[in-house]
Amino acid sequence: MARKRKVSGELLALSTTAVVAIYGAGYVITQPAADLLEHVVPTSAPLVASRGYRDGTYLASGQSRFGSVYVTVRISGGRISQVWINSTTTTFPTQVISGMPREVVAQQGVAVDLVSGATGSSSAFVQAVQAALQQAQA
Amino acid sequence: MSAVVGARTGYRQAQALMGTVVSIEGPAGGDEVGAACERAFGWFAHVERACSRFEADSEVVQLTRTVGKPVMVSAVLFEAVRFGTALACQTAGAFDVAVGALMERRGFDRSYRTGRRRRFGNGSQGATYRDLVLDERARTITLTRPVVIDLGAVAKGLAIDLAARELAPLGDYAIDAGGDVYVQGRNLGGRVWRVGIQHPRKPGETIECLEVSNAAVCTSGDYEQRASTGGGHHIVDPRTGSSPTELASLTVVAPSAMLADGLATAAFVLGAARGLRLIERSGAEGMAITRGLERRVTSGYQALVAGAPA
Repeated sequence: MARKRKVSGELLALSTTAVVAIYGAGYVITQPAADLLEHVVPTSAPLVASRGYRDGTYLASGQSRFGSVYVTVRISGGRISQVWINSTTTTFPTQVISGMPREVVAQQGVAVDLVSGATGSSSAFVQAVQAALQQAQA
Repeated sequence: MSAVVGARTGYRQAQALMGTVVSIEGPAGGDEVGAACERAFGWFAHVERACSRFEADSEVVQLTRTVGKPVMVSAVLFEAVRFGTALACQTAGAFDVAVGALMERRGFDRSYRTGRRRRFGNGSQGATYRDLVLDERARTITLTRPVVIDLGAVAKGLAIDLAARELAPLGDYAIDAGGDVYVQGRNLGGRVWRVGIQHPRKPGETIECLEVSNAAVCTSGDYEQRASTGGGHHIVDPRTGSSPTELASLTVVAPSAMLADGLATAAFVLGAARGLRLIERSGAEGMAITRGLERRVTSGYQALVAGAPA
């Protein structure tokens, strides 16, 4: 089992007291972030977690800092039968995510909620598929 | 329309912030969700204005204009620099917040906002964290020589932690800031959040999946953001000036995002053996993947992997 550790709590302590200190300094966030930005991505697509979809063909998109990914998801017999990437406006080539539709069909959905370390290339695709599946359940 | 049994709806909000897309999601809640998300997004903008080395009017760039005299700074900037210098100290400079001039020389000098080149590093070559003197009581920072402070491995984590505090009353939520993740409570299916780890060599694929809650998961990799000059990628060893070559990626799971974010960068530079020791010593868990795709983990990491025995 896990061996006994000698933990130096300095970094952990600093990282947690930072939040307390900043709140204690009396910051109040009153200005909507949107005012401070050049572009705001107006997404608020609700999500649905469970399975069981209505047959049909659903189009949806997802955004990351590299651009947008548009996908089509086809449901037949209540299952995900096909997933296509229709188009991308991403700065990376589409081949980078070309293997992902097959994964979605194999797993009948997106197996993870989030991806650590994916700074955009796959997250737009994952969001797009989640949005399409949400439509299929509405 | 017949509702599917067991289906739970939720929300997702996303905004372009700190050079990436920040998204917040969770199960459907009451009226307070929108306001809490707005305040959470506000922290990212706020931290960026304090900590970005790309904007001429950011607080940290203003700070670098004064050498030899104490400058009183905001709590946000002070805490970010304090954590960064502590991490630099613990790693004997394998991680360093004074690395800004080096990053500029390697071509990481463009504002994502304007696309314009921004260089503030004249005369600051060779500066280290030892050139920053912090006074906690007066909340001042003194530069003993010109320094370009780079809080790139710290600021986003701090913003996530501040946002998480705004969202805490909601109970269940996830924050994703360009692959730096914090999850609290349960996902839409009422289960522990599943956080995939990006495969360092297969874009769009995950190498494994963690089941975690009330934790941050940050991954540093050699696969994003190539340097425009001198080869290598966006992580540099401040001691040598070049990109470390042992690891393809390094993941940290920690109670706070600033800790996970900072440790992921520092341990990436240190390499698997010393990096994982640093992570363990700091009370966190981690996984290193070498360029040959060998996987090494801290002693408590495997218990977080989906499907691992309880």
